[in-house]
Amino acid sequence: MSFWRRNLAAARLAWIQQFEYRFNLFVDAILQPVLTATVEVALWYAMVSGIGDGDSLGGFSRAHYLHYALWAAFVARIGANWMYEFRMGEEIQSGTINVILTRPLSFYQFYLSQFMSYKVLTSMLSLTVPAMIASFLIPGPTDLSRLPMACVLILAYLIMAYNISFIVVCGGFHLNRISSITTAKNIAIWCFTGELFPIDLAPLAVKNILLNLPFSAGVYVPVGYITGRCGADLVLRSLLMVLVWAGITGLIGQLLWSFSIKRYSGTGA
Amino acid sequence: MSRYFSIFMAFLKTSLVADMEFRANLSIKVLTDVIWYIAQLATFEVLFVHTDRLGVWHVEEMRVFMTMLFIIDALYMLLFAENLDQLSVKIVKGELDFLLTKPVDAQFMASFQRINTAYFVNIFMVVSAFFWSLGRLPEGIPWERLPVLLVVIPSGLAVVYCTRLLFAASALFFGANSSIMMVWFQLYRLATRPDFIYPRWMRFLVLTILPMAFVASVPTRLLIDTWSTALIWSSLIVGFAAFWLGRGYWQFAIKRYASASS
Repeated sequence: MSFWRRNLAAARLAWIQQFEYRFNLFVDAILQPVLTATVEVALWYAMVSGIGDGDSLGGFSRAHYLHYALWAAFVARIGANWMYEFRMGEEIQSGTINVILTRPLSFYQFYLSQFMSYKVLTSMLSLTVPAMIASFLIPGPTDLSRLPMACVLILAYLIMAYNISFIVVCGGFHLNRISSITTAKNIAIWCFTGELFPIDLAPLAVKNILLNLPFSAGVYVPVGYITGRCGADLVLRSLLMVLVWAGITGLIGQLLWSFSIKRYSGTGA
Repeated sequence: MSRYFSIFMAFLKTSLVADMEFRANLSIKVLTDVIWYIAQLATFEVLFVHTDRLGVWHVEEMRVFMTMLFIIDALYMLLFAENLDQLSVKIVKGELDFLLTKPVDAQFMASFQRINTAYFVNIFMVVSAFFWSLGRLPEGIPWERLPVLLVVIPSGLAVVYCTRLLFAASALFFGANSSIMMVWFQLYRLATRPDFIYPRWMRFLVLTILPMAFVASVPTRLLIDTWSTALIWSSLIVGFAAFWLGRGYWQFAIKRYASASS
């Protein structure tokens, strides 16, 4: 089976699984980010209303913050990888990975195709919500013509996020439990993405550190670009950084896989 | 009662033994929550770099609110989190049947069987942080109001436990319910912000139908804002109501449970 046919089949499998559990998909892609966005928009509304100084904070208006909070909730959901990382870890722990190993499939590619396909599907559903709210309910700085470039950055970020997950998952060959590492890793990354607050609000030293880490491409840079907080130059710089890190993490993942698979006894880890 | 206490102590002992077997896992759990605490605190610390007041509170009051939230969260994580996280798995695999056959209350078994002993460390940390943040208040630690914690902390814990139980026990009707469980995490976010930041309709919601404000907002207000006996009574009533609602829902759901892997 050719490379493309194999991976397209895996990608289609992810869509079929998602559409089989449509309620799950609705909760995952729409309901959860809507609830998050409601809480965060309320916080920022109170925050910017409370300061009095012409509704401006750090040089940006109330609308900028509301739109940032709105988009950040949705984009952050896209960038996170919980489900597939747990699933891949479980395959190694339980030994069901053998099913993939005995077939002409690559474990890395099989799950990468599924992960990307699932994320594309949830992105298409998810991002229409903030786009419609920003267009019809809360008019403000959102520039939808910037969305395609932001999506390119998010896609690149997803590859890097998957590669990091793959490294953690390979740890499953050597450790008894990796689910707590997944949780710790995802929460640590969550702090660096800019979902909690726009990175430009942080003190200068912290801001410089966060912008020089690739994780800001998960939320701050794409959302900041869509909502007019930053320009195309930052997006391009971030894209380059993410691609370099995607390469590095991919390489580490492959080396770790080669090392680990030689020691795998075939009976679960 | 003493029988249940001795069973609880037995659960505590076995959980401690199990946790000590995977010490790295234990350390990572502690670390993960410390990261979560730092992230929550950092959000407000960064906001207060740009403003001196959020609603009616300054940074000192906000720190008391956050550490109060962390105390309730750590207690919940210690006692209930792992049990309620695993409840739907137990239902789907049919393991709940083993609990139902035991001569002990099934809700007690399902809620306390696995105690997350790593969170004793967190409780020590967050209680220290709580008293540190109280000490930073301009008027100092409100010693005379501290006894109110004996009412509001159990009440807040009951609210978290009950809402979580309602979502977890939904697996008795739906089977796999991972998405429904994720909705709970989003609702819990409502508790992580002070109630006065919400629009009027949402504030009404978190003080009544979804009483997430009673987790940390109301306790903090009772400690540092204007004293209100009505609020203490409300907290007490909400705590009891939450507990009995959870209890009633559990018994209702168990009666309709069609046994293993249904």
